[in-house]
Amino acid sequence: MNVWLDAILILIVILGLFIVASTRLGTMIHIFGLQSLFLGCVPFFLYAKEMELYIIFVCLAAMVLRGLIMPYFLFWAIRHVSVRSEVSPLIGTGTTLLLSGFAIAGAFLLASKLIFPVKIGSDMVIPSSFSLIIMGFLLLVGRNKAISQVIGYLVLENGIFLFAILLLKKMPLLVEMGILLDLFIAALVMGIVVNHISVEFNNTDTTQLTTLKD
Amino acid sequence: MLIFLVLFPLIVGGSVFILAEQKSRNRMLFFTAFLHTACVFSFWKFQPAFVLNGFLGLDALGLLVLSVVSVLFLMVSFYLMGYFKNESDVSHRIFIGFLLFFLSFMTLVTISRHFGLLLIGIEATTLSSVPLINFVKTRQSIEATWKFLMICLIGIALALLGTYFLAVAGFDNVQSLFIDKLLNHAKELSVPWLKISVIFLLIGCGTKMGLAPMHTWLPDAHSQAPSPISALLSGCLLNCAFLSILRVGQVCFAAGQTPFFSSMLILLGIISLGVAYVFILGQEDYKRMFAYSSVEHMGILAIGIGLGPIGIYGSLLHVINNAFTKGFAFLVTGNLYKQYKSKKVNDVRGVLREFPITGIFLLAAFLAVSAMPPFGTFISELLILYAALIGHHYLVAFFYCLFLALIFIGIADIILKMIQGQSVSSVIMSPRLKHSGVNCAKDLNVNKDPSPLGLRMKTRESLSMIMPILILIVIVLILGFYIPPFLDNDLHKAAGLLGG
Repeated sequence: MNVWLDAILILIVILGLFIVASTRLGTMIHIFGLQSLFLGCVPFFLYAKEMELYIIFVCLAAMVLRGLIMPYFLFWAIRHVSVRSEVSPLIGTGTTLLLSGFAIAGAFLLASKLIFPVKIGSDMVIPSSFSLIIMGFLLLVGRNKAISQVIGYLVLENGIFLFAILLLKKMPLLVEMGILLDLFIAALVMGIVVNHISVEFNNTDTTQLTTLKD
Repeated sequence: MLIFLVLFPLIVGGSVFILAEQKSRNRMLFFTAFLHTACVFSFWKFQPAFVLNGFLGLDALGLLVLSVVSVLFLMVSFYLMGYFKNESDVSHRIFIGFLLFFLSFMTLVTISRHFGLLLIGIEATTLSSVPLINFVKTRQSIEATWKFLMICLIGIALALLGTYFLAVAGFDNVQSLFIDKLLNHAKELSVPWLKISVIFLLIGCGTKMGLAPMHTWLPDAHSQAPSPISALLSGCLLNCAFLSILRVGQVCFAAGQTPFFSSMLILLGIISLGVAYVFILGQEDYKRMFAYSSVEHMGILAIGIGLGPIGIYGSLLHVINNAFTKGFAFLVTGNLYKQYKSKKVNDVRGVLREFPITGIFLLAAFLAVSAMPPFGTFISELLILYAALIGHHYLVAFFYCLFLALIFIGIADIILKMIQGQSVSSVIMSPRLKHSGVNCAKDLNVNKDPSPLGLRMKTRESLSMIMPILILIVIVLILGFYIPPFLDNDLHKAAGLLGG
């Protein structure tokens, strides 16, 4: 069981690297959806022996929201604003990949310093979660297109969700669900604002948002 | 009762979308705000019980912030009746609906007794304020909205991670994120996880609160939002974020980690003061100047909390003073913008001569924001300085005084220029036109103004745009002379929760 869990976690991180490396928005969204689906599988392996109904519920909700609805919505957004790819990112894909590599190493280092109070199914959960968070950050700061930034934010949220899975047993259902829902609404609002940007500026390049400064 | 307080604005906000008539929507808004305030005032007399399995409850800290939010919201909703009077052709359906949602979520933040719920509340306030900031759909306001949304959402994501770390810190024995339970078992929390969680929560909530260096969204959002919204953002939203930091502080105090927490807050506070000073000096946009002054005051709040019992009392008093001061200061900028149709300092001259009431209000705003003696802000800032001196934090006291003095000079330079002198029309018409007519014409073109400055129509200062400001000024003035016993009592209780 443990081997499968590790394999999935490695896959999730590699998919994260894929997102960081690609410039085509469609590919990024596809891979993000796939990553979220795998992420939803993690609890099934982590809590294989002590499965409870609400855990299944939260996982399924996460898979549907992050894996299906959100990508669908993002596709709607890029059709609407008709951008296809990130032409000239602020930080090139090669540099971002290299930085992501360092980030993964750093995440393992950090996770070895912070000792989780109880034994968990795999040593890989916390480092993978930290890696995803940092990769999300890299996307947020390194890309110009508003949609890429939204994807970066979602990858960051995926990392946080991976960490939250460790706490699934101890946290009330309400909070988890609330956070899932919040995330969904956040993406929705961001999509609407992206639309506003594209209407007003004729494209969604956030480098044009520079009129306000001191 | 607490559930009602959250749900009522939410329901009315939803029903506003159906109402056809603009006037009835405005009345609905005012009525809801009034009922909300009445409810909150009743809580000063009868403490409401915990509801929803302890998820919602009101303590001294929550009551303080809730009252500030409620009163300021009432004033702003009063002000909006006049603000919208001349623009009845535009539909404000979405605006008023989301304004009420905003009130509901801010209420949720102040009364939640669970860290998860607190974060949901804060995130909901961010999302519900997006349509408010983006009310005038210009390029600049979209840019401001995008920055606000992205930066605050990332901040909240970090705070969420911090909350999870907090849950891990209490994994063995607390096993919940209820504030009361965490406080009772704070001594058993694992210290390394608690510390990392405090760092993340401070950065996350500090982003929302506008502490430098995470403040970058604040000046843009405050300057681009309609002025009543700037007042709400500055007076209510930032204080709600501050409340969440205070909740973290409560846990730190109970866990015996106050020195760690205090030192971080003092550091962030001093940085905020420095940043505010740098950007206030020579600021060309008067709303941006008040926005940076908000950064300054948030820094003062943070420093006060870090300085021990007297500082905490002063800081909590400053929450009230600052909220009302900033509230009326931004409402005054609303009046100015209505008259001059420009946010540039250079376009506004001789306010005192042309619009005496607004001019006096602007002067009052200047004096209150820079904490001059008759106003309440003076007392609270003095208390914080006193706390710094008594606690032998001489370096903190030095930087505090230095930056406050410099900021005073910066604001004085800007505002006094605006208040005094001849009116704009005569200034523009005489010297510059003579000098080079082409240049002036270009200026007017750049200044995308529906009516050129010279031909600007004088609109009368309407009563509903004056009364709320006057009431807020009087409140701040009274707080400068006299702190009512019930308030003093609550402040002491609230400071006690934080170890004061």
